Amino acid sequence: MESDLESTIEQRKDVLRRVKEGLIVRLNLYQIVNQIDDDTPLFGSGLKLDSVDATELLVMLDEEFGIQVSESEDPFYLRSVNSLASFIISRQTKTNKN
Amino acid sequence: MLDRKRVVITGLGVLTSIGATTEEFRNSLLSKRCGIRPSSRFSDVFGNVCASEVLEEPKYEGLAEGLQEKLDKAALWAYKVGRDALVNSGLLGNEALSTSSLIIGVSSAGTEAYMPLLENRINDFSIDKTRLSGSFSSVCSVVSSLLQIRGGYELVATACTASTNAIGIGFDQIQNNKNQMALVIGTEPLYLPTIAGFYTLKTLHQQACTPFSGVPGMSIGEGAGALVLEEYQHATARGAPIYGEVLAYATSGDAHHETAPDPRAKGAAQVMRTALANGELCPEDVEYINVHGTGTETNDRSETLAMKKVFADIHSIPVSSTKSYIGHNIGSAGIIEFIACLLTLPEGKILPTLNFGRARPSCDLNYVPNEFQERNVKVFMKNNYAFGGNNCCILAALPGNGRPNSRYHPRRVAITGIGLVSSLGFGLEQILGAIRKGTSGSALKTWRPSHKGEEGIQDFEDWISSNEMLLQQFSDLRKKNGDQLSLRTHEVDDRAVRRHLKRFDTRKANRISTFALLAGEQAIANAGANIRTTGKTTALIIGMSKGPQATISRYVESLVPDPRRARTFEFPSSLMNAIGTFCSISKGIKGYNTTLANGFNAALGAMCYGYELVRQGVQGQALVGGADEIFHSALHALQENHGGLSPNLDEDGFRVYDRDQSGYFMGEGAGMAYMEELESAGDRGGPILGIICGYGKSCDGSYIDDTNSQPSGQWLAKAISQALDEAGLTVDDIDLVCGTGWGTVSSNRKELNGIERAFMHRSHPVPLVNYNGFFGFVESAAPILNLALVLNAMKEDEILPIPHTRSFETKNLAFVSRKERLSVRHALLVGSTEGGNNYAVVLGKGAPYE
Repeated sequence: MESDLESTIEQRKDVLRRVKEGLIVRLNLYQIVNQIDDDTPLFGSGLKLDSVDATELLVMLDEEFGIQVSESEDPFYLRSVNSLASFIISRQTKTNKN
Repeated sequence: MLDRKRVVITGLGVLTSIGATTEEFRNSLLSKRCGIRPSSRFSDVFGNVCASEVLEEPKYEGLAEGLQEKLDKAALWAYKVGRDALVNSGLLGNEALSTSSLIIGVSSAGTEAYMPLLENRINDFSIDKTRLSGSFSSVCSVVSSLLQIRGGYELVATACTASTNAIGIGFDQIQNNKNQMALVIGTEPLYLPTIAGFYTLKTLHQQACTPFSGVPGMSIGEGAGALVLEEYQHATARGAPIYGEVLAYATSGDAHHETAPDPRAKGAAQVMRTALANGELCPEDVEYINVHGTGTETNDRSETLAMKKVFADIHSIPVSSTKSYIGHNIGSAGIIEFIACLLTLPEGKILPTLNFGRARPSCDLNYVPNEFQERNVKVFMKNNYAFGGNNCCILAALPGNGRPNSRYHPRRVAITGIGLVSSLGFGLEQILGAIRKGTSGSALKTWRPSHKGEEGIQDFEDWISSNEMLLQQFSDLRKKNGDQLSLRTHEVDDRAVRRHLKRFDTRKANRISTFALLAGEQAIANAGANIRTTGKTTALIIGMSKGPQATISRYVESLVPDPRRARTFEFPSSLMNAIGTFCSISKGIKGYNTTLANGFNAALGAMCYGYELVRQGVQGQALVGGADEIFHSALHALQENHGGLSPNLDEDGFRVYDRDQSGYFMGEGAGMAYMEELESAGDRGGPILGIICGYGKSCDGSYIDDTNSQPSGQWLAKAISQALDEAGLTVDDIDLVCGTGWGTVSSNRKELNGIERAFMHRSHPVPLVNYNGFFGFVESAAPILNLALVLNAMKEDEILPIPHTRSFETKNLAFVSRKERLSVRHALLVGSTEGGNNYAVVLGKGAPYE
């Protein structure tokens, strides 16, 4: 059980790191990974992304994580770095189960 | 008050998917032919993608044998439509073209020559092509030379409004008494980087676009168009055909976002209102609007809103989009759509918006759905909008409209602020301090030619060795510098620049944009101006040479190996207008916004245009200048090598006008000047640093013929005399000349010959300076860096010497080689582009003024 939890935590950490690195490179963020809090909102007051940046996020999901998002998807997953990570993990788990 | 000159259209030329002649294009429009279909060139990359493509290579009449292979399509198409328009107007080969100007609008220029590297077709790579068609403004140099148009050229690079704005600049060129005619061209062949950008932004429609109705999305297209603009009396005197009349125009900046239009449509509404005011028209005079109408959700919604804001009775005005026939032709869109109006409105018919289905919720105007509407239109409006919030509106009329001329009160124009970013520091004070101390801003850079890490672009070494000409090009440089490529450059610490900036989006700022923004902020502060209150009537005109090179490179790299994964972030910021619009967005500058990418010394073109806008009173102020960044890459090293870097790598190795040494060091930075109406500057107690008394423009027209190794400078001399004429001065009134040449043999000779020729009849040799040696050659911004030192000399009565040069060329000119006390009442700033365009600006001493 414990190792399960540990691997879940490690997996989440890994996804969070990759998400932040992807954001930094693709969207020219001036922060480094450690400066981005997991709960930072992507839009508005947080990283201040806009709708065009959202397109680039979709490309990142596809290229980095192999996740294709349809237009009809509830955009809630784009709320923060954390919610994006959760979304990626749930999608990956789903794919693995299939 | 002065009457504006009436500017009529006396020649047309066009190339689109639905017509390679005006006749064919008119017939296609009248039979509602849509040229958008599954792309034959890009479908293998992007799957089912549609485009309006010119698939049949047009005939290029009058082109010398063997030349076609060396030119890119942007230049060839521009030549084709430009020539057609001149033939149509009865002007081809006419002597009057030597005093006509050429304005070309294009978004993606100088691209084709490098595409083989990107698309891994290395054998198609041609050095000749990079030479003749490898720079952004080469299309102007080529066309002016082939058609012998020598009144000076400008390359307008405001993306999707480029050719619309070009029509406006052509109109101004006729207002200022310098040209009777202007040939205006829009040209835009579609290349991979452009379609990939729109594809990844997910803006492309699956089929032909359906503006204002049905599924949102745009269709991309390509083509070219040309207009001969001519002063009315001149046109009627020679019995020219008249297709219509340009009544007025305006541009504006949204100052909102790099791709999205302002949802409140303020900038789009403002540009229409300004154009109406310029033409002394009211909204009720407009009987038809040819809209931008791309078909995207955001454009169609905000454009509809903008028209509702401006026209109280908008429901009675038919509006339609020509993009439903030929897609979005980007840089050439505006002029082709304008021509479509001139060809169909005389039939008493209004062009319908094709493919019109169910109107979208926010779109409730009369879009002339699918069927022609019968109406006799006299006055119509043409609008275009671009990335970064560049907006442009033209008001035009059909012949015999009986409208009176609009009028204006000519203003005197003062320079009240200067901002500088250079390797010697930021601002005049720092720079003067560094010069006094003898500080050098340059440093030696060693750069390994092996350029690994650019995936897909072949290893640089292999690339060079696979091409004999390249091998030779680089071996010269290498022999001198051993294995490594050593360069001395003047670079700017961009972290320091960022620390000085107040409010800006750090994420969206690339180096060149931060340079421009800092220089702009300084110029505004220097002038003591409050941009919050004047931003709406302040123009921002930026001259560009190589533009945002690092961003372009990053974007281009993202196209390899899969162009469907192009970086959407860099797509808009890799465009030439990105720097100007970034500054507009950061500072809230919402007046006229234009990018003129004329190459070396492009800031002079920006100065002349800004001056014209303030002189005619259409803008209260203008912020003008240029910005450059050095980018170390294989391609650019190649370009620099064409240009002739100095082989002497000592600190003082850049010696302008030196008899024994040729070449320059690359520099980077920015220079911006704040100009405003002299009277109001005086009223508000602004510092009058100098007055612009007049300007002149010309072009050599010898770009293709490179046997001309001894440039006579006769056309530069022409520009100088034109500037003196406007200023009402003679050569004896000029106390100081400042050149902006870059120290290569050909640049030196041309500039010195031109100045010597113009000042031949002066009683004593004229004192001459050139300060590029202090800064390295900062390609587009050099004129403003020089201007700052000239204005300072006028203020202090003390002239700094030309740096580093030891033995000057033998000329009948008084090279200033040591510090001199001299009172300067009038100075002359001259400069040329690498493509052979010439400028001269007469400067008057600043306050206290008479």
